[in-house]
Amino acid sequence: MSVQGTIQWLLVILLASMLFLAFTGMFISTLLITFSAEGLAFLFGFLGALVFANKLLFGYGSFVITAEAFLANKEIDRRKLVKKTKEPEERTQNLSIPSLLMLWLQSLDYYRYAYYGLFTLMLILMLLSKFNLLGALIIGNYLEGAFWGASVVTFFVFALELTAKYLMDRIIEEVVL
Amino acid sequence: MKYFLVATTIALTGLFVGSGVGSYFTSSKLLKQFQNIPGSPIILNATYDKDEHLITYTVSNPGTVPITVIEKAFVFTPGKESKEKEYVVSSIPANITIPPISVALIKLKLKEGTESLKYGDLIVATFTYKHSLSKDIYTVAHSFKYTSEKVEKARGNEGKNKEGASK
Repeated sequence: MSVQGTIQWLLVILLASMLFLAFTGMFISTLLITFSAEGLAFLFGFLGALVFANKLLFGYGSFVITAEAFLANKEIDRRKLVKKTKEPEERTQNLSIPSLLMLWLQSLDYYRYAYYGLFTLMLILMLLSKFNLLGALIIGNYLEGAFWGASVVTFFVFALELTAKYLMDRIIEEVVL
Repeated sequence: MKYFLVATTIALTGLFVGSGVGSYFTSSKLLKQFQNIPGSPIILNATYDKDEHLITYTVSNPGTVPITVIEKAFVFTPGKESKEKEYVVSSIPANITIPPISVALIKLKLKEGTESLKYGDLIVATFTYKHSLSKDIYTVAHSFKYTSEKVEKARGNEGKNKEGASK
């Protein structure tokens, strides 16, 4: 075996062990967090928000990938894009790809408003409990935990949404205008 | 420019959310630890009630665990003006719980049949207390010299003047 091959294998083993350690650490710290009641509240808030934000996360995520591909002049499957917009075939027949992307972004707005509405409701409940109107000592701490769990998901939704809108603006500037 | 703005907004939001989550877990841990600090009672004030023939102690519990006073005891030492003899009363049962971070009043009834306190009399009271975190029994002793209000006021003024002078 050549020297280069040995070094490559060593690097692969190093990377694998690093990944293994990282995932073990994450697993153990998650277990340790869920041992406390606050950690459990955090986990429930996180999972609940993840279920609500699923459509948004995957929608904006795949939109970002498609928009990047379009900006890099790669070929895009038009039929898939038409399906994503959820518009009837007759309406989308003569539309260009940027306008299809625009329709796709607009179709995600309903889910976005619903998600942010729920998150704001959670924030209001948390603040009410913080001001001792809902029993700060009994459930306030757990409501706050659920709120922070949801805010982690909301951060990803917010970041993906901003990126998607930024890419849409770039497409409008560079291609349409 | 726009790219920079978007990236900065996302980064700042991430920092904010991360610090919020971290401080939430830290503060909830800290709160649990603070809920288990026993404090020793501090006697803030003692006043003699002539009509009822008792001394009222204002006791503060600075800790975050409730304290239960089990027993009271005191030693009476007469001053120059009193004709009463020295006496000791011990093991007076009491069951007073002082809630965390609050103040309670403890009344100490003097021996029946004795004459009321004269200026210069000294009473050393001992309170026995316990808390839920250990089985040990602790005591706190407080000496109370009965003086006239004028003298007390003068002393207070002196103290204040001294404090002022030292400043």
